[in-house]
Amino acid sequence: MRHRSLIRFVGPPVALVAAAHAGWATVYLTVEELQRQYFPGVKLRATPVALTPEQAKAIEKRARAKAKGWRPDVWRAPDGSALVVDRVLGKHENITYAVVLDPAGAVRAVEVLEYRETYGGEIRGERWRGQFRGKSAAAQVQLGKDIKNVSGATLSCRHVTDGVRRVLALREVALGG
Amino acid sequence: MARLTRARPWLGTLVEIEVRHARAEAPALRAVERAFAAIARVHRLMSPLEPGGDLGRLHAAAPGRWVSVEAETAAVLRAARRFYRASAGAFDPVAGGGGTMDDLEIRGRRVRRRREVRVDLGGIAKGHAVDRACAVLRRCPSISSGIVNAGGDLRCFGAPARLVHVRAPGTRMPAYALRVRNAALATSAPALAPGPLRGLVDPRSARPYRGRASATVGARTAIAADALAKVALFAAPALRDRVLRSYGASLFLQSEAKKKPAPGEGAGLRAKRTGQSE
Repeated sequence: MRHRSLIRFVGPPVALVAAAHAGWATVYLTVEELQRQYFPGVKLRATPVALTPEQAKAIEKRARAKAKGWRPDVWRAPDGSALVVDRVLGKHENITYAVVLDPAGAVRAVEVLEYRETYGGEIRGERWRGQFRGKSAAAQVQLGKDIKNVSGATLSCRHVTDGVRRVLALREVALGG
Repeated sequence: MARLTRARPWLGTLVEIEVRHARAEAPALRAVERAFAAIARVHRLMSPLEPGGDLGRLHAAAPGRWVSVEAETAAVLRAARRFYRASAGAFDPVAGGGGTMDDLEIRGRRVRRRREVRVDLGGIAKGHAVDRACAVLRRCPSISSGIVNAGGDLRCFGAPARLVHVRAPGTRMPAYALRVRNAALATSAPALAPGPLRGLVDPRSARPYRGRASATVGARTAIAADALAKVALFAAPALRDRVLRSYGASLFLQSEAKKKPAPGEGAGLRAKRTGQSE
């Protein structure tokens, strides 16, 4: 069934302006769902990571990323596959993501588990707010609950891809065969 | 109807796919996997970050040398050339790369550069990837609706209409929302932070865009929305309106208020409709 195309202006999220530390978050997958999807029926063994200074240094050299004090969550499967869950903590965004590695240590999948974004510090105050005074909003957009689809300046996924590189280095240096 | 949503890093950004599906999850999940495979393919062929892809090989070849590319890449280059000509250069993937789109020759599946220029298919490749992903998802019988969003270049299909928040230029904050159904949206805006990809280039100066305006375009396809969002920022108003109308596209402009708005005056946003939006 074909539906007609529609683009309609709804209005500004007026509720947003009052909040000092507004933001939104999306959960795509829980760790359990991820494990069920990529390792169905497989017994995964949690293997805590505690890097020695030498290991951290080796990882930093290979991945060009900090590794001191890095503690991702790691699970191993009997066939040598691995699942690593890591977090990117940026100024405005937190991303929890997972890397699934095959027995040879190659990337089988990268999945974002959770994405969180905050606007603290970006609210420009009365002058910006004043631009919407007097404009009637077709609907009051509720912050957080409603924000799922966003368009605007493209945000780079560089931190996640840097993270994947660090995970690959971890696999080589500390997770063995 | 159940909801299935995934996000993965491709094309230099996070690509989100959300679908509503009937019955068991497995067929929908397989379709989402195929949709990401289509996106990964565009990334490998056309991303400036892939030295082994079609664009990478084109840049590695000396000017004057013909390079064979995938039919898909050639099609995107030809689409880019159409937008370039229709917009008198307001859309130009070679701007900021040492020349213009006229410095590329395309014959069938062969491409060559006339001079040492760099082509950035960045945005338009995102739009194309979104269109391909949607086409894959729509073929799955258990999927009733969906949305694919590649860092702000998005397209949705099926009912119901979805709420899309458009950021205020230069910030992450939502400025306003659009209700979108069976359409694509793309936004051209100043970069939020320097990244590994070439930012928005103003073809009038061939330098990074220094303005503070943001243009959001609604169109039938994501590839058109992306190209037209640049036309909306950089073309003279008369040409801009003509081109948008010819594609049946809608435009929403955000411009920085030059002075404090009068009480009751909404100075920040102008909603301009050209062509049909419904």
